[in-house]
Amino acid sequence: MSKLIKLFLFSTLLALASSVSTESAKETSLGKLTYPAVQGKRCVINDTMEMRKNHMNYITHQRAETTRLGKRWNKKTHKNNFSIEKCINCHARDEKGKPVKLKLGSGKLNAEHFCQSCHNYTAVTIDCFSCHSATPTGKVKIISKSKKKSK
Amino acid sequence: MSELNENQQTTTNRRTFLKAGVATASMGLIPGVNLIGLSQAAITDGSAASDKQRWGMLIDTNKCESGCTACVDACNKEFNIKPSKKPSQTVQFIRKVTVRHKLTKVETSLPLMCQHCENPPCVDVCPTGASMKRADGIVKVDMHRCIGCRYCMMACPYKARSFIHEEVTEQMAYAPRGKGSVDSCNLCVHRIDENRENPRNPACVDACNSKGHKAMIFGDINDLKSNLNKALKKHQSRELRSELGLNTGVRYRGI
Repeated sequence: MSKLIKLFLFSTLLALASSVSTESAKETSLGKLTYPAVQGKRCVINDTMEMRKNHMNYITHQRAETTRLGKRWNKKTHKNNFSIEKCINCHARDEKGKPVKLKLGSGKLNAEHFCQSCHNYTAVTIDCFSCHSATPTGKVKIISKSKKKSK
Repeated sequence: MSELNENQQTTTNRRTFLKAGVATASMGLIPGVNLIGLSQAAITDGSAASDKQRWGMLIDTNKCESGCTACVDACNKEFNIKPSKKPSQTVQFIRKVTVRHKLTKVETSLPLMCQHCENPPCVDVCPTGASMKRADGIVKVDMHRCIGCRYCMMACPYKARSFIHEEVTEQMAYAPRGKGSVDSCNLCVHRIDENRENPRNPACVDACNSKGHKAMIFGDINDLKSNLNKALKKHQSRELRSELGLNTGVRYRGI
């Protein structure tokens, strides 16, 4: 008899837990993808789709040359600089040019961070930012959207 | 002890003799070529580190004050190293060490960091090739390959490397560092790579100079015009644990 009661309790608990989890899943849907405002001039390649597909290849190729051989490229002028520092400096900013943090105060990953939002969507786990800084450091010329439209 | 010193002297003599020979030969035969070879192109155009250079340091322990930790503080600031929750796990690139002579009981204070060996044991033991020596003599960790096995920490006779136990959140953009890998002094490679012809001093050397002690000289050992080369020729210096034959880039005076 007691076994039956235990089973009943267990099943109700399970049902409760599952209902809670489905509710929270609805709230944070993975289907929503945000494109954070990109600041600054076009720097590396003028083809968004090419960068979306192959950005990792550009970065990986140069990271070995930089770390192991000591090859460095000018961050401001050189077009073939695929340093992650340079990516972050423009992309990890909001519309006003303020830095967007990778992690929220609670320790959760921020879905509005440029890299994170897309990798969240495509379910790719990257560990770049366990070592590399994910917050921009340099200064960027901000091109506001209203100016772009007027041009 | 006397044997060791003699050994050291003979090797340095041979090296300087060979270097002088090469220099005079090239000067005499092809005077123009030498000049072009020495003047390197700007670093930021993607040129690799050259094996013509070798970065190193000479530390005068007579000038190093025992209570002073300016170099350590500067290093922690440069790499944004903060104390760990467990004090024993705090990342340490440079530390102050007091050595005492067994016979005379004379105590000497000195800063100890990665000695940037020519034959680094940490590189020998690394199973993934993460522990590496760059062409210009800088020994560092390629964290893209490091699996955090800590063999290099065991192999290093100077205890120069640290394992990063905790998640790092506020690392500097120029010096990536993360949980689960080993890191150590890299002679402030980000400063060197800005301009390899006339680099900025590492943070520790800058701090020592600004404090007024001027105990550390940084430079290119191979460059005959550098302050370091001149100082090494002028003063008797030695490497720590010279019996291991590692030919370190960091050398000491007064011990």
